[in-house]
Amino acid sequence: MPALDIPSVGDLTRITDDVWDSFLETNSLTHQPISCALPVSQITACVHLSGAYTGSVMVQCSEAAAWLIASALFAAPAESLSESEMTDAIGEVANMIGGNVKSLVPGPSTLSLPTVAHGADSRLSVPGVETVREIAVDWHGHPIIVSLLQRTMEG
Amino acid sequence: MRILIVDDSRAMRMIVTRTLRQAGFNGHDIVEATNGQEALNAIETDNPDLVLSDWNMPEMTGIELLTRLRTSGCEVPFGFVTSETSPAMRERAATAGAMFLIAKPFSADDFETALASVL
Repeated sequence: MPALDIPSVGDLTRITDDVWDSFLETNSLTHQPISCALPVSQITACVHLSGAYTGSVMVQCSEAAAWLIASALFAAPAESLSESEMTDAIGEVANMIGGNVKSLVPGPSTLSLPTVAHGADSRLSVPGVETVREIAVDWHGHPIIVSLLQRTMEG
Repeated sequence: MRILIVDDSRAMRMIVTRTLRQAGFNGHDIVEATNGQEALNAIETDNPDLVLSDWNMPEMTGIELLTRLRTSGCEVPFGFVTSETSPAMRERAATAGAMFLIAKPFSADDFETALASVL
């Protein structure tokens, strides 16, 4: 059972919308039921919070969506970008969402640098945490899932 | 003027550069560093007129960079561009000598407001 003083689904939605409005495309997101499926080949970008609040913020999307995100952030065609630039871009999206979430959870806490996992059927799991908030959005036909996780146990 | 942009994300360094132009701050020399340690070297070499720095970076964080600069007597104008914007961090930044803290994500208007008195 999550604590009441963590960001709401509305907070997570507003933060995600702000990132898209500022650096991707204004009003290009539509919100989806959580059950929307990600493709097998997907990207997961994650930042971890440690301290008074311990948990993670995850951004999951298809590789195709990640290349589109990189193209928008670098203002360059996707085919001109490297894989490291693509992971840099999706990692920075997770960092921005995570940093804003950090401002809304109990402090003090520290924010990690982003971690990005990708490839066919890749999964990034964080032991000892549970998902306490999750939203799904559609961006140009690509599902993007943003999750807030919270530590459930010591150790 | 010469502006040093410090961020471990290349995408964000490009966005900051682009946003400076969109805010009307054209014609300045831009130099880049990927962490605080690189920034220290760049400040010694390039003598920038303004530093725009991320907070959370490998090797040396932005607040460590600012503290090192002020401790060594360097008073270069310094502002943070960071996703972490709690009141405690804003207070810590101001106490350390930062002129402003711009929250990511940001707009050209945010840059114009923060930088109007500097550039």
